[in-house]
Amino acid sequence: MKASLRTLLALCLATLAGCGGGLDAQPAGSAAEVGSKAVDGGASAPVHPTGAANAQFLRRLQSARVTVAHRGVRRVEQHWKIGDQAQELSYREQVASDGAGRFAIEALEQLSAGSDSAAADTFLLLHQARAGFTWRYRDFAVRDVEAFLLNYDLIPLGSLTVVLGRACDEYFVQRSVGHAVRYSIAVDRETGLVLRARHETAAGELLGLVEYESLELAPDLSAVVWHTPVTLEEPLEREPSAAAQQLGFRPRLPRNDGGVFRLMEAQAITAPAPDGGEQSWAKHTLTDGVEVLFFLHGGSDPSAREDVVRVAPPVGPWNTAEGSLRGEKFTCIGRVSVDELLDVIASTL
Amino acid sequence: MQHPAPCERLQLAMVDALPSTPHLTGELREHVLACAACARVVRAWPAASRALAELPRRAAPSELDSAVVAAFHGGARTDRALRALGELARLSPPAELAQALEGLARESAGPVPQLGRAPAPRVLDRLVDEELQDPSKALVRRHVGGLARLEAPAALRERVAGDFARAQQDSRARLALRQVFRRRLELALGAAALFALFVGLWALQREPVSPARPFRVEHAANFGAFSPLSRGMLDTASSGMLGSQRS
Repeated sequence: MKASLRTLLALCLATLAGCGGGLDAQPAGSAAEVGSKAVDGGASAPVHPTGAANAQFLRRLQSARVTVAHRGVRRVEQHWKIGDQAQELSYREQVASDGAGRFAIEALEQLSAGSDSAAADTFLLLHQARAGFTWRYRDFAVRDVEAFLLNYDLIPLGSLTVVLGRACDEYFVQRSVGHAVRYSIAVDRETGLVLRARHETAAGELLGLVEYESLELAPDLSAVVWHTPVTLEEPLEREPSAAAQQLGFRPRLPRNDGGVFRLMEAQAITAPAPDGGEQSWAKHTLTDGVEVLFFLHGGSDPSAREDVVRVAPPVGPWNTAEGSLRGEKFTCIGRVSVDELLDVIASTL
Repeated sequence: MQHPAPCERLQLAMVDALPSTPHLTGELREHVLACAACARVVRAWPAASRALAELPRRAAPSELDSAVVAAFHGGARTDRALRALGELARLSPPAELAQALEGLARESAGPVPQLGRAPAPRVLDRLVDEELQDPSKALVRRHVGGLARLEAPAALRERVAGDFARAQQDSRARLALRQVFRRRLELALGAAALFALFVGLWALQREPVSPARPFRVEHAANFGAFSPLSRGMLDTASSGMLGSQRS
């Protein structure tokens, strides 16, 4: 049991895309640098002219969680199904940000019923290891304003709501392309922080909830242990021949043709190989403005016999597709539909 | 050269007999025997009459036609004028006449006042003016109006009736064909809808395949065949939900 836990923890630490850099170690292909690139996600993207005022609001929403120093406790719920059986994971976590890029996330307790103490301890331990990913990709956030304007509708509900005694404006964020999901968010008027976010299917089925239960602005952060990168990853060289030298193979890129997804980051990671050794992968992180998608290219696959892509069963809102195409290994994971994953893979060929 | 009177009579007789040879009376026959010029004319007459007969026939001038028609229908014009006058609306007596008659009745004796001449109706003025402006047109209108209406020949009537019957038969045939075509079209559309329904149901039962993608897609039932990299990333992304799902 302990061996398997160690293996799982090692895998997570070694391969997590987002854990390594955090916001204190910006990759070469950061959003600021490559934000203008668009990647085809299969569906054509209609234009939703939401206006300059909305763009300004969205930029504030995008930066608030990084630029506003705060600390608080959040309640997190995740809902998914195995077959027809509903599953739930809920827990409390403490989050802190110094407003200058440093952050810390620590799980406090698991709230879901039915977990024994050992499983709960394991969860808390692994949650610590996932802090980088959680901070950067788990929660609702505007990750690319231009992509957001293309792919989402921002609908103000026009009602004032109060979270933790603070005045908040409520919005619906509705995806307008591909598979339909929506967020219901409460945005703090003073700071722009999202104090509550409900993630729902188009039919209103709850997929996730993150809600602040306490909040301190400009707190004393002297005792906070900030997150430090622990994974083996480095920025991917932007020049193709340099990237090929870095990886040992020429990385394939999703096509940039004004599609749904835009490139956020490009990194080179090292992960355990099936034969026990190590293997380099090119990892491209894409976003449609809110949701994220990881496209990994692992170079040649000597065992490949035909072009085939396997699709895994969904895990909550996450889908996975991996396979060998033209003798090379690919993996694509995202909080998007399977069709969109397959379209992104196809766009690289 | 001056011909005596018998020479002129001989020429008139010959012109009257055209195109055949004239039958000469005893006086004229004796004259021909005595007159060398007339004798030459009589000898040359057969050839001359043939030449005259072979000349192209010239049409009479249109003015002549009109003149002839006018000569024949001169009396009818008066009749039609009287008929037109009779058909005109009766006019009310002028106001002066009414006043004069009332005055006459009051005075019961005395001279009848002198009445002014009543003007012709304006329509008559117009009709007369139009005729004077273009007499030929008015003449032709009258001539055509006076023609008797001819009945269509029986053969034409039968031919029109036959064509009409055939057209009706064609129309009935086209209608029948259209109905047959519509029935077949409805059957074909119904069959196509059923086919589409069956194909749709069949496609729903199959694994979704996107022919636009240049690879085969397999849907796995579990995560056993997936790489450690994919499993690890998915477990992290889902905050450990994958571990729960596998257990």
